[in-house]
Amino acid sequence: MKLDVRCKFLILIAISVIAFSTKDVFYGSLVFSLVCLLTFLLGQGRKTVKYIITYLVLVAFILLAKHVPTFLRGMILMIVLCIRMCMPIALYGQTFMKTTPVSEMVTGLYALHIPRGFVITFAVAMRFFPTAKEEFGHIRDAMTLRGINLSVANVLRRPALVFEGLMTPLLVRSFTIAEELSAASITRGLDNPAPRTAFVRLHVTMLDIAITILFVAALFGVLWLRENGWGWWVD
Amino acid sequence: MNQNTTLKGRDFINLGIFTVIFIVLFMVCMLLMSTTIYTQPFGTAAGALAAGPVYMLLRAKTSKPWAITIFGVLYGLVMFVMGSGWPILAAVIAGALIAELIARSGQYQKYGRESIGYAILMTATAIGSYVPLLTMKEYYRQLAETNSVDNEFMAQLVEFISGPYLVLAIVVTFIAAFVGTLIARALFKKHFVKAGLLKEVR
Repeated sequence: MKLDVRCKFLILIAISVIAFSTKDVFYGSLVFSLVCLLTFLLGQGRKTVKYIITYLVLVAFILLAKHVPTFLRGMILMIVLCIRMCMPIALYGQTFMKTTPVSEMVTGLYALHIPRGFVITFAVAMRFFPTAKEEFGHIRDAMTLRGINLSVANVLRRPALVFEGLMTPLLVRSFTIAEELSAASITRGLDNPAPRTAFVRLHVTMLDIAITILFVAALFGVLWLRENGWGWWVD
Repeated sequence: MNQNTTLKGRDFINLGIFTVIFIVLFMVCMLLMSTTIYTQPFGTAAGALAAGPVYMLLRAKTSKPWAITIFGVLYGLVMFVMGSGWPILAAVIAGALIAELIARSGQYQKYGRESIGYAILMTATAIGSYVPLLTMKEYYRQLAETNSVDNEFMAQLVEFISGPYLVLAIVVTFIAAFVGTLIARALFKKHFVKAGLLKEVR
């Protein structure tokens, strides 16, 4: 199933708002299962299954937490809470990135009348995440070669050297990449003030609208239930 | 309008790239620090310290009006989408505007004013990320009740964390951000000026 990019943005905002205010296990799980349903519909079945399994393991942790010493329990529950809160958004975010090409996203943002500066910055940022990962891998290899690998021992023993060895190449590389990318995009007319034309055509169909409304309503429904209670089922 | 005072394509690309690196470094620090509840409030401090050079390099590259605001909005939006809630979005944007004003008072050329602006931006981030921690207090209390073991300990812990400890964390964040910019200055002098990437550190 395909969903229009503007609807996806709306759903993203809805999920971030709702996931933040439903932290307890029960309602959090409800939100999570709604998100799972959506990502499954968007064709990311394998990823969804992976996330569901992780989620079940985390819930098992919470249920088993009784049998752990008090001090450790606080720690574990804190970590579990952080991960569990991020999971619906992480799942949806990854699905978003997987199912939306950057060109489509940029067209969508322009169609929403977002200022140019933000659109360009946003698009570059989105494209740069994988590059940053790759660069980081190279730097880590080089650091290992020079004997300042990123191990706990090294970080504790000589933090200044490790920090310098990591930051300098990282910054210099991004500096160079920024230069090259600007040269490339300016030659392609990035600074052209004329309105942008797009190869991708966006259409919001009735199905898109229906799904978005249903989904956002379901999310807010969870919030409503949490505030007002079920009355007869859960106290 | 002067050529050097409007943001152009090149500046937007710089903003995009350095914001990503900033966010990645910041997030890694936050994650490492949040493994224990005692160090969790200091996550922003660690992030501010580590990501200081990235911010200052970005400022050196795009010393123009509105650059800090765009950075703040993008950074706040990413933090918001990651599930930190709306307080952080509001706080980061407010912090970015204050930083923008401070930098503007030095015509975007004074290193000292840029670092104070950065420290304020990071302090705002810290404040924004502790508001959810206070609501988490309720969650903890509830959790302790349902698990029905050692209520006392949990309650004490939560009280301790949410009181003066947070104030301390906010102060530490301010100092750490400032120290981060000092480290950045040393790093620039040692490597960037020598390599010809930056002309001089003001």
